[in-house]
Amino acid sequence: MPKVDDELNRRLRSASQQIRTDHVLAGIDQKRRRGEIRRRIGAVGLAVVVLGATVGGFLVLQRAFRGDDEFVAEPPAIQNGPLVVVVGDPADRGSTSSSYRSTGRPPYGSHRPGTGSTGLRALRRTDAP
Amino acid sequence: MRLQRERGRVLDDSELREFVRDDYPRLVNAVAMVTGSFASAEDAVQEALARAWIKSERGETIASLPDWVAVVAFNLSRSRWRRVLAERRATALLPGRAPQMPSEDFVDVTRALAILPRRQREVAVMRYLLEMSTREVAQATGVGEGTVKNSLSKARAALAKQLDVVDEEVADDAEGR
Repeated sequence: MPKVDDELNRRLRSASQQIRTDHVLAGIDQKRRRGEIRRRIGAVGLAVVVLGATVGGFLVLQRAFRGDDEFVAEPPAIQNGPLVVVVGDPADRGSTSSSYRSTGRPPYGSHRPGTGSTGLRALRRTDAP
Repeated sequence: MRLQRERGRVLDDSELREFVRDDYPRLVNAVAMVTGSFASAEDAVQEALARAWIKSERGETIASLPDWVAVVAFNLSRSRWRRVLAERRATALLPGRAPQMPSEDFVDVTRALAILPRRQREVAVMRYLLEMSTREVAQATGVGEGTVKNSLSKARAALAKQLDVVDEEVADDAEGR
């Protein structure tokens, strides 16, 4: 080792101070305990954050995609016409096919509107719309 | 450094006491020479030791405890916030404890080191005070041996100039001319 290295080594060592070590072990133990507590708090905090983010995300998505929003359709501009049903082959221009129009009335007896079957009245082909 | 033990187990009380007795004062001085503060140096070395303890409790291996503690303590001492807190705590303890007054030699050395960049300061202290080889310094700091040699050479020249250390080989060459 060159002389200058020896001299620097000597100077740094002679500059070293006496260090009290009586309180050191207690200090290390305290820091170790603090480190443990900090790590546990960190782990619990991380778990809480992950759980909160999961639940929060779920709720936000549920709210965004829920289907309970009522959709109110506008009333039709014109009233629907009567239902016309063609029975038979429409291509067949013979006398076998018939058209029927909804009468809106029950075929027999009476029941509340909108329930039960509706009677059909046979039309001549010329009556069909 | 001298203590080279393979560890894969919990640091026991006697090992810790031995370390505190033999290596702790030197490490505190080394960190204090780099930072210029004994309070923050003690805080950093104690924190590093506490981390080594926790690490050993988890079954992790530390090849050389003094080297590991030195590097962690140097890294911790870089935090300005940690330094301020440590100094504040030390000031709060002053009524019960005598303050650590630096010697004249310590002030001279610290002042000479202070003009060096941080990396050169650390390398110089590891080499000249902790007596680590170039290879050990390279391993501890995680840089190449060439980089350590280069830093050490610059630090050596600057410290020799600041501390009026005459390089006899250079002086002899100059006189011989």
